[in-house]
Amino acid sequence: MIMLVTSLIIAGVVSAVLIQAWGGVSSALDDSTNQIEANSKTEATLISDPMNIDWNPTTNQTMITVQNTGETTLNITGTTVRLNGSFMNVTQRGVIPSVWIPGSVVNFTLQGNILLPTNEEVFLNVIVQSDRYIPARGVNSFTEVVRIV
Amino acid sequence: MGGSASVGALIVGTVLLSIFANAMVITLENRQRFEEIDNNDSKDVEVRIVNATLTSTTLFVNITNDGSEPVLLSEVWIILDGGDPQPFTDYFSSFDYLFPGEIIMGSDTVTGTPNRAFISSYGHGSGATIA
Repeated sequence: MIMLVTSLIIAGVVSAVLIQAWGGVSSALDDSTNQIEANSKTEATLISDPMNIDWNPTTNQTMITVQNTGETTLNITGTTVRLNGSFMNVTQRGVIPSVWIPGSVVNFTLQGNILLPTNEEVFLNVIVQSDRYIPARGVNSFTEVVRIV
Repeated sequence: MGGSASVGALIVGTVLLSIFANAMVITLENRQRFEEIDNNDSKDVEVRIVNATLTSTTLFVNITNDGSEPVLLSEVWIILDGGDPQPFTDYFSSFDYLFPGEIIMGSDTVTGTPNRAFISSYGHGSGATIA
């Protein structure tokens, strides 16, 4: 009887450890698949003419337009932009649209204390993220060479 | 003694079998999801300006779609001299879509004499000097 009870306890502990370990592996697999799936639905591209990015040296500002070319709604305030390697302050120009649905565009004003001479060709790097896409938030970035005018 | 060990082994064995079955289900589910992700290509839309002509204050723009999928004209944007993008529906409103290989001529009144027209949609852009 004692042997049987001992055996059951050991079997129970071993089973619990195995189930817990598998639960961790399974959850990690699920998380990574969810993230890949969310990233694959998140995409944006530049609409502005890359040959004509008008930089205002007085206000240190320029404006760009970005289109949501993915399959999920993007978070407008979650957009990050680097111009010539510098992070810019990104604000939406205007209030429309308030929701960045697939196919629509958003105008952004970029401001940063950087010096950009006319005719300089620099890299513009834009990072967008999806609105909460349960259970993961998708991220996408693109880089384009633009000419400052 | 032998019977007790067998019962314990049976329990652990059953758990292992359940885990294996669960792993198989998860693997098959993930395979299906990855196949869906793999099929989730971007739209094949390649808008291109054929030519742009300014006559007095009216700008005429011919555009085509070199891709393999139709695109909504409201999702095609035209930019003059790096200014604000306008939807191509401001230039052309007879149809909603631009189909592959189709050429349409849009026109709109413009101020000044722009030199360059640029259209863009779904990551493809095309520019032309305005004649």
